[in-house]
Amino acid sequence: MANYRYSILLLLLSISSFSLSGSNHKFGKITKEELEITSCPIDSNAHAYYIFDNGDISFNYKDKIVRSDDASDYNSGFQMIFKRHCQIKIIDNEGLDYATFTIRLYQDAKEEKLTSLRAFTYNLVNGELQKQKFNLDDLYYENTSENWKTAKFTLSNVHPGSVIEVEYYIISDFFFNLQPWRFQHMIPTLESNFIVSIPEYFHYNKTTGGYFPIQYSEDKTMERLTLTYEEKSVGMSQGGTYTYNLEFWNNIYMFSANNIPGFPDEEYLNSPENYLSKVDFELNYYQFPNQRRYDFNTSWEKIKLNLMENERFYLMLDKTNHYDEFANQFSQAKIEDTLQLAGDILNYIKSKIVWNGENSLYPGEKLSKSFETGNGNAADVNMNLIALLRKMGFDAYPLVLSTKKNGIIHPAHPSVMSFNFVVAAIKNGDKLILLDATNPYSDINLIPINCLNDKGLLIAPGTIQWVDLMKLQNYSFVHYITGTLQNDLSFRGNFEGKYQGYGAFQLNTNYVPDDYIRNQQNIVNGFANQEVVINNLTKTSNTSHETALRFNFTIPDFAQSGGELVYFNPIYYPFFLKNPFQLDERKYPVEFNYPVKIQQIYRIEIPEGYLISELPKPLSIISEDKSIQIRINSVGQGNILSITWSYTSSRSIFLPEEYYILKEIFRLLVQKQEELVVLKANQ
Amino acid sequence: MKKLFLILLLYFLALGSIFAQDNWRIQDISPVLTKEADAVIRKYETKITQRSNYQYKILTILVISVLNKAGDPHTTLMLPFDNHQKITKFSGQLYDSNGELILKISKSDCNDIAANNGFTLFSDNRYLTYEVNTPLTQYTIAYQYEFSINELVAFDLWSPYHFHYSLSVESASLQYIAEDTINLYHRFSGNSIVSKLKKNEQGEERILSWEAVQLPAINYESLLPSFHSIFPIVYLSPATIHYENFDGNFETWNSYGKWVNSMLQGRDSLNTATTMYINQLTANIPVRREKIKAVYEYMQSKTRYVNVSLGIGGFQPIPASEVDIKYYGDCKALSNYTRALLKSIGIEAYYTEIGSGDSREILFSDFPSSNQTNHIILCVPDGKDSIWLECTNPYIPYDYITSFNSDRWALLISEDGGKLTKTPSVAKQSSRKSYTKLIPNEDLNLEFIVQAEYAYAQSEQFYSLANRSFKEQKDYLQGDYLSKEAQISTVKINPGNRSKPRIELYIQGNLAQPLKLSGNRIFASISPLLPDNLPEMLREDRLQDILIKNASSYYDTLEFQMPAGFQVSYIPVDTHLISVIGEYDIQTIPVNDKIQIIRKLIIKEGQFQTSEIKGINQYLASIRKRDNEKIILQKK
Repeated sequence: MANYRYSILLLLLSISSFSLSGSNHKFGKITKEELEITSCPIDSNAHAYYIFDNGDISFNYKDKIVRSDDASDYNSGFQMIFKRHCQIKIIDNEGLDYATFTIRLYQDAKEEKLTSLRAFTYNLVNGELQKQKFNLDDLYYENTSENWKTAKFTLSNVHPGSVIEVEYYIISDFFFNLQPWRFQHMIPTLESNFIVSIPEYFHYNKTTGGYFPIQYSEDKTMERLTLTYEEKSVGMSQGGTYTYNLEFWNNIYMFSANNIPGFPDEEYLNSPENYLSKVDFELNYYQFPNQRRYDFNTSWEKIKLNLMENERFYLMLDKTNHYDEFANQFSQAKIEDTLQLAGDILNYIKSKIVWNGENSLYPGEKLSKSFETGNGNAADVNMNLIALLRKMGFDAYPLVLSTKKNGIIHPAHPSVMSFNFVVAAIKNGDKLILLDATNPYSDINLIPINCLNDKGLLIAPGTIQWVDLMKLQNYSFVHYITGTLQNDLSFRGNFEGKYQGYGAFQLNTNYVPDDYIRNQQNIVNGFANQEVVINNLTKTSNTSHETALRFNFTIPDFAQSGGELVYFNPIYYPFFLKNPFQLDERKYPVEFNYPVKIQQIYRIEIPEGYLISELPKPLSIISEDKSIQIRINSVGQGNILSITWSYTSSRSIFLPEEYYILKEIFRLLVQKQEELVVLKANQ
Repeated sequence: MKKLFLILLLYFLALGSIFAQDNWRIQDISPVLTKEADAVIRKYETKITQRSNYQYKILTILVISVLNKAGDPHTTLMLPFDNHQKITKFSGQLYDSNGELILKISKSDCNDIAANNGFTLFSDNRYLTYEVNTPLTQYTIAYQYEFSINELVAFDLWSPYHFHYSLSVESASLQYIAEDTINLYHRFSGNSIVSKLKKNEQGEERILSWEAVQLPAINYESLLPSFHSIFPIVYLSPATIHYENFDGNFETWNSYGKWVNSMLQGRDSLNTATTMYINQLTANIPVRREKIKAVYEYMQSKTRYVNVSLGIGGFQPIPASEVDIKYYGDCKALSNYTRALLKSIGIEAYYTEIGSGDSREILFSDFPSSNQTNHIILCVPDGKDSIWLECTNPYIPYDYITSFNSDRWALLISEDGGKLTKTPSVAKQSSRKSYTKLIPNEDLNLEFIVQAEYAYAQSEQFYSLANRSFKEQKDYLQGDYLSKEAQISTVKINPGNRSKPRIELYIQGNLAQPLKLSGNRIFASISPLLPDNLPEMLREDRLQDILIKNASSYYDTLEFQMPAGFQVSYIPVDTHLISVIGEYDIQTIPVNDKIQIIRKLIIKEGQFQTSEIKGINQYLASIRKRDNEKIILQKK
């Protein structure tokens, strides 16, 4: 009997937990000096800063007494308690927005609860410290979407100079939703501490990331928990009160950082999440004494195995009756034309299911269902693709990855939650072919740019295999631009562009079908000249890998005359209209999506009666490691001049220290592009 | 339970039969309507039923055929709702290009999202949204939805085009059916709409209708006149309202103003401490205008803009006494607060309702409706003149109406009701004057010094920037503003004492590109470093008028120091151009070892007809060509 009761208790234990709290900042402690400060001590440009920002996560066992006659299902065991306490100094008007807070709360059958919110605004009025309490009537809850509720509030009486202080708790039953902690905000943070105390029953993987270093230490404490079970006498049973004492270790993880700079908004930074200093906890497994272990994941091998045994993932791939129509149609396909068949399958899936814009590792519904309704998330689309490839005899598997916006995958910290996208991978000898059907312009080994983020994991039997996504294809094109300078100094020319790889992908993506005017306008905008007239614009694609663009053009005011001289800019359709790097310095790396290899060949015929007087001088710019190479060549012969211009870059990342190199290379490039051809009347 | 089931079933059958008769084959659309259209409204029927006690039902049927992928966004539905306006019915059907039904859509397929925009912290407005996701490039979507409304202040503007560009209309109609006497004022614009007054079955004139058929698509282009004059629109306004216990009569702007005024009652009291402070602050200022300025700047320095609007809060300001504690509020709250501050020193100011920016404007002086306004400012009578106070921004100079609120009707509210007044125009005074020095060193690198003064609308772009850090100022000017790549070493942005809409800008630095030597010549491009808003070239086959709103004058002088060892070989000819949209003048004057370039560009405000396009384009091309011409220098 006692055993039975014990197991009831532990059952309860399993569905729910304990508390420990630590912060060196007492609520309400504020000095006059902090109010008198007029600029941020670590960044004179800041409009506001965190004096401190402390987070604390602990587990609390909620219902320690359980009664046998309590029929409700609402007894809770462990709950996760998140506490946040921060002070923010407002410097000027632009910092006032930091007095407004939005807190996201997760909800499904249960909901996360915001409790014990208290907040104050401190001002210095005639040299006296004045404080104003936040009125809870001004706290609003917005039902943002199905699973998210947002608590919103703004503090009162906030002015440049004010300090605000906020403390709140979030109580959560969602162990998987242990909030990541960001040490870095848009504004600087003088001190940030994050303490997580986890009972030994819970096992999380922790991942720290970002550019700014974080201090870390560990500790453990012994905790005691007394649970009481009150059994009412019913029939034969006498009833009684039983208590159980549990002792367990609380593992304490402490993170801290000081004087953390604000996180700027920088262009050419694909995944800010990769650089923002933060720590993530992912639930690995939990196990209570004498109970089975609830596994989430532990190693990449396990993650892979879990996905392979998952009814909502790999096992779905075998249910393929809904493709019979296609299968019958193509069952006679020749096996030697493998790529052709893969391409046909890809096009078939694209025509059947449209991506609804949502990234997801898991399909939202049965594959046959999304196939039938014609739309679904990324996994709905691409798992259908993989399933059909397999049915048609391909050795095809899911390749799971994290999109650029979602951040990079940390090899040392296995976590299935870091994946948010899946594409198809076909094993072809010792090579892999990647396919995606979410984007209309995706093709064999041409997957959406947002997917080109470091590495992906192949979900297939055998040893773990990571696949490099950064050098899948070049961005490349060749432009042949020929034309004749007219006697009235206008110009008539002909453009032929051959785009390959991501060059073709980007062109196809930016080109609006059936919208001649918009496409024409986009091309006109690429000319260095103000007025350009485009005719006979056509785009032809044999495959998504190769796209050709052709048009004729007229530039009314192409050359200018100055006395006996006529001059013009021969690189009139430049790839870089201006230096993309205008700022003086850079705090985070510059990232490019793919290797680039582009070339332009200009051929210009000049009218009778002119001689070529000056040509841009040939130039090559090669970065020290040869990762960027620029070559410009010019030749004048009789009345024909030709200019060849090429640019290659093979690196995807440039560190902040190297930023000035990039800036200078592009400055020289633009300078070269602006050089003139000078003609002289031949008399 | 069984009965309910039966009723529901019957209801769905009935709904089904209404739509069964229609066929939405894409090929049936007339070629007139597919020209330059991404989508076609096949049918757009809105039926408003006015019931008793300020209750309404609005039933809408909207059928859109999409011709190409660019038409997809036109099919996204966003239905607003709140405590007064509920969505009682919703259904939809998706048809392929042959008109075959392929998908039924119900309310559960829609998303229910909070409708808080970027500047609203919290409101009770929500949207029910539906977005079509289909691999089809051509398809037809049909929606049927009904709103049940309990009390309202305004009806949404209605246009046969559903306010979409690149979309044509086969047929559209709006019907207003009164179950009792018609309680409505109405207007419409555009000659494509046919309006009728009809009798109901009892022979009473209680049905109003507006219809339009076969309307070609309108393209979105630059410099379009406001959407009010582009789209045909029906404006409806209830004659009398009862909303959250406030009664209103919307016969005239005057009576409309009485309703607004009724919501201000008892909302202008302040804390004693504040009253005392304001009295002290202004006691020693002798000039009335200066007193008002001191109060305005006190308000600007103390408050910030936060919008929380619940229920009547969309129309009624929170009391001044509450702003006095929270120090934040929306345009209503901050304007009312400033009004209360001024009142405490015996200065009367009018709470003023206005349509601000491009999206709203009071269009009809004899037809009041709440959907012509969206903003509150303050107007203080000052002898014959008025002092205008925009209360939602800490940087706007005192008594500056801003380009958002200028040159339009504003409704001044007082005990006597509303009174329309025109706000002043700022276009004529909008200008930039600059003096730039360009000094080359031995390596032909160019140092520059720019001194500029911006007035009125031109100055607005710098109000916030003036209060930013040096790094932010430099990053903005270097990255986005200057027309040439530069390395800035000094920036000064001086707003003066903010009593005039005027900003002084000083920039010093180096240009990234040196002067370039071609053989023994230099081709120096001496165009202004500061950008102007000369319009882009216009499409020659454009159908809509051209509207220029951002009138401005630019007077720029560049002084170019000749590099040592060079002499002038060629100077572009002085040019003077005149067009209906303005004037351009440029002169190049060598003075000793310097060359002075004096450039004037005037962009006039106005609406121009398409017959002017050729001339305008020629003018624009000539300016660009002339600006590009280079001064040629030769080695001595």
